[in-house]
Amino acid sequence: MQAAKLINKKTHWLGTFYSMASQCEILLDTKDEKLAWDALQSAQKEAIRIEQKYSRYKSGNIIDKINTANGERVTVDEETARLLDYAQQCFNLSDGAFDITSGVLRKAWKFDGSNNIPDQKIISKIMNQVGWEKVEWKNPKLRMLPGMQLDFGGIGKEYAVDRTAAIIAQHYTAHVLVNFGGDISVAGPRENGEAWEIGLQNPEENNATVAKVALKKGAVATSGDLNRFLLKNGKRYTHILNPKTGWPIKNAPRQVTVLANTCIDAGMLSTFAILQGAEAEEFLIAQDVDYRIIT
Amino acid sequence: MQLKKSHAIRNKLALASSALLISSPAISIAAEKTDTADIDNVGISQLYYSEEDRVTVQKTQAIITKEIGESDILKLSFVYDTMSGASPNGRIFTDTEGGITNTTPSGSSSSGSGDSSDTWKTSFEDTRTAFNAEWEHKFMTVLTGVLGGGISKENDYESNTFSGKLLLDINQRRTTLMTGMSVAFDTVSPFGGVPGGATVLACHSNAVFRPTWFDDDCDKTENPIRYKPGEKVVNDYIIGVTQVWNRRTLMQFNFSFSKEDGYLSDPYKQVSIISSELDGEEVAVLHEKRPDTRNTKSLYYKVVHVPTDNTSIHFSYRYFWDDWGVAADTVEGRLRINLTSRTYLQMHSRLHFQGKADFFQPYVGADEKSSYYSSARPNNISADSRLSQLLTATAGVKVGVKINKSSHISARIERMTQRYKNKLLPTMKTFISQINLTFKF
Amino acid sequence: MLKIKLQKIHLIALLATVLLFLSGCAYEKVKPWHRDVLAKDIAQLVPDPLENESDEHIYFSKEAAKGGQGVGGGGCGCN
Repeated sequence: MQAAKLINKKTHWLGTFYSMASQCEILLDTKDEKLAWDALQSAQKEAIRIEQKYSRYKSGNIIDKINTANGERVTVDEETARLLDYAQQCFNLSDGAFDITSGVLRKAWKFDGSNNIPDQKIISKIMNQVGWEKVEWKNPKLRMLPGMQLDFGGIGKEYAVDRTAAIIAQHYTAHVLVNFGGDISVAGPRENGEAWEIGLQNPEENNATVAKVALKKGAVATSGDLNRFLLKNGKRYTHILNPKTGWPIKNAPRQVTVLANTCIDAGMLSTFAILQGAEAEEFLIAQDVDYRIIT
Repeated sequence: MQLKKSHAIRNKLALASSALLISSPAISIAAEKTDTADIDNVGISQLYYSEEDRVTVQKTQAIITKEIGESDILKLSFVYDTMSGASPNGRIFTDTEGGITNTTPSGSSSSGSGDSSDTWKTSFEDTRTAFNAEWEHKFMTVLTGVLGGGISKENDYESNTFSGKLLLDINQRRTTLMTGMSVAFDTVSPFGGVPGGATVLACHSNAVFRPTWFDDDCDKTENPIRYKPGEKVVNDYIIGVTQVWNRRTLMQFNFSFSKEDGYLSDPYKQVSIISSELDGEEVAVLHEKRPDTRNTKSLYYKVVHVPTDNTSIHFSYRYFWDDWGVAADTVEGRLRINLTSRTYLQMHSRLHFQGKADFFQPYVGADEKSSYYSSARPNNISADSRLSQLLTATAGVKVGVKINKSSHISARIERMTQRYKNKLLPTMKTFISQINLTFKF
Repeated sequence: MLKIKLQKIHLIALLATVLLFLSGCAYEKVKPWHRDVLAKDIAQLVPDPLENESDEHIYFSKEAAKGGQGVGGGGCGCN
């Protein structure tokens, strides 16, 4: 595990480390340097714990056991059970648009900016292993068809942000902002009662700050396809796939940012919005959430 | 996809996420635990050591380090080396009878060349195998104990060692206190047994020019007095402190002392008896004799300074002294530069100034007009150049490459020279080269 | 006599260097989260044990002085 770094920013402490393929930051408003350090260590520990537990690339963890079960029942632990319950709720609320079994479609789709659109035959074949309705989930036992895979990539980072913020608020200080690669949770305002200022960047305008958000408590999350897409005949194919067809969502917005109470809420709302394709903005307005959108 | 246009989804999602985030997370304060994968590794090394016109050594070494459980580390080390060549044995001049056969490490003969300014050399071929094990146990986060043992075997030498060490971190782990001790039981068994100290090895026909205290012994040279194998016990003690001086500097101070008892001489080293009346001809030869005990002490200081994130300077100084009269200063420096994130270059330099042992003499004078005259049989005498006043200078360069996350390779080449105050001894010039490969498993 | 004097000069000169270095390089109570630099490979007291062991053995067999860094190396017929 690489060392975490604690930097004195005069108005707050900035703790950084690398996890979940992101630069992770913890901003703490406290005079106590040791407290800041201990909080940072706990944050790093928790982030790495979640990363290793739900990483597709680590053998022996619960995800690996589930994905190699080959049709057998797998008993999962309490935390994984809660995540599965949540994923199931999201599947239902989105009418099947959010589906954690859709990860296997990455075998067909490689979003590298090229024009390699896969053949329909390949997609159809893989679609036999996609669909939460094919999963038998009765807490604490899970069973899927052989070859099916679960992917917590759409929930993992936001979950880690919320957990980390809760840990720090409970054991160290509530004057903290947790930011894992753009997924943010604020447990409480700065020590003087003022809000944390968060800048939202537009990568297409060279990361210029296009909006500012001030949070005393709450979360921000962003979904988008700005770096992963395919381009063929002038048509842009987003990496966010429709689990019911195996094809990318049509007319999806480039980026959606949502503010909510928890990071997981914010993240899921922004994902749901993108899954609406052209109707993303309408969806967000209907949900009455604070949002930013780039189409 | 049709979605109801209302807050319904948002509220239901909020409910779902509160169920997900329900448990209040318990935490354990992070003790900095290193990944197991970071410790387990194997290191293999091949060393080639070559003295000009003298000894060549090839050494293969392997070290395996394995973490066992949460608080234990086991380290196993294996060494195999082969030595061959010829080494000066302390004698100086050719004798008039053209060569004397005597035992050597491998049982073969020794010889000198015809030139009177040449040194006698003992030639040999010897192999050494050694095995070492070390067990490190963490009693608490700040207290570690290490137990070690080793066996080393050569054709004519065996050494068995036991050692123990304790390390304690204090002062928010900025300071480490260390204490250790070890005991080694050595057995020297040259073919025929070890010779009696300062006893006569050979007398020549020009013996009338021998010193008077020598006369009787020359009659006994046909069957020189031999004992059974020589035994030696070495006790070493060390205390030290390592201190983090600042964010970029680390220091270590050690004090060691050691006590040796038993047969401490080298059974193959000899001393010439030279007569000035014969214009410096050798008249007889003695076996060397070192005292039965030796007490040594040393003070050692090392500092590591990291001025930039990619360079580091290592500097050490050791002052050594013992009751044989030897005093030595050793200064060593290394400069390491990271050329890229995967490769580094290291420069190394070492200087060792040494004073002679009290009983060192290049030879014994047979008559009053000779230098190094002795009116009685000397109690202790050695002409071994390693106990004389000398200066060793080493310079070297090393390159290392990180092949991937868990393995790296390095190679170094060094030049070492040793100059003696005694003009009769030519400067020793040596090349050292070594390749190391380390990989994690 | 001269020999002994020379050794003392070395000792004093080196102690002076050490003290100069110590005073030029200020002491600092390093916090645990500032141990990053000293944890790197290039900052280890013994960066290469294989090289260190070989050197200890070489100089033990070619000089009269021994030790300083540790104990328990074991003996050999080389000295």
